[in-house]
Amino acid sequence: MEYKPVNNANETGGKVVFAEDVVATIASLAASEVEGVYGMSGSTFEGLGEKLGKKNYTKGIKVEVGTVECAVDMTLIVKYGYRIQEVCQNVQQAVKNAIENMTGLNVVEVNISVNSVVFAEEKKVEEAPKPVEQPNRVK
Amino acid sequence: MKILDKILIGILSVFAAAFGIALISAAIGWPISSAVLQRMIEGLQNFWISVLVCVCALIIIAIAVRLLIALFRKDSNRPNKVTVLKSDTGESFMTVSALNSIVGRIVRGNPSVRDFKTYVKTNGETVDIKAMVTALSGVQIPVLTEQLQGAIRNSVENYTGVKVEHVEVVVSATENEPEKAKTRVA
Repeated sequence: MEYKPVNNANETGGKVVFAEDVVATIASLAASEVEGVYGMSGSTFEGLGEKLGKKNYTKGIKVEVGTVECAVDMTLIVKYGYRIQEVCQNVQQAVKNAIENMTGLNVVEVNISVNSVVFAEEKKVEEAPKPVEQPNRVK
Repeated sequence: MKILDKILIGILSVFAAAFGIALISAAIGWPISSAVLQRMIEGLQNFWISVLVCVCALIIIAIAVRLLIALFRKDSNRPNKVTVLKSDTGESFMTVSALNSIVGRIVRGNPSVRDFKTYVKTNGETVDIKAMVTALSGVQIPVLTEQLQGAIRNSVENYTGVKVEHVEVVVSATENEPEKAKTRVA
């Protein structure tokens, strides 16, 4: 993992450094909150970790972090029925705002690649398991 | 896939099948296989036969390597992404396969279509779409094709914002609706 210093040296003379994964995670969370986004589309290798039960927040996201700027490339899965142009525009704006607000880095580019579209019947319905009724221990 | 790759896969499959048969026959102890193996081992002691076997093995390895490379090679001549949006913040693309899945969904939604196959080509900015459909017999084909063309063009342009240059609908066959099984009792 590469750490890049950010040019925000404060009065104490220290420097704040952001790992690329941190910026990628911020981007991922911001994008997944946008309406119409189903998720991130990563490589088979990236998906392997998730199959093993480890949540990968940086799946499908590449970031370049400079001293004061950063650029983001992300691959998305979009829900069918939403206008893809609008979804992309909203994701770009959401990611840009989130990174700029949280890190102070200037986001120069958010490039999006829509790799897949999911239809309603393909959605994985993850129903919460019904709680097993326990018999009352006391009257 | 190129024709050459198909031929190579065919050759490799024949070798793989022969190798599999030899292994099975050796495992279950077929007398014919041990005789053949014996003859082959004796033959390998001849210099020229050894050279021939080595050449064959090298050809098989070369075919396997060629197919592996073909498997991971990207078709660089044809873009596989189409631009959806260009803005100050960056660019947004969509893959041809994602676009194809949308087209498939639209075609599948037409009740007069029994079966279909769709193809999407792009130059990076606009797309050409081709749909090969099997229609239900009795359907007015000009009406169906017009419906499909309109639906594909409108939906793709509306959902993705990508300009659709051409929509070609080919009715490749017609098919009767399968008859429902008659009930024997009331």
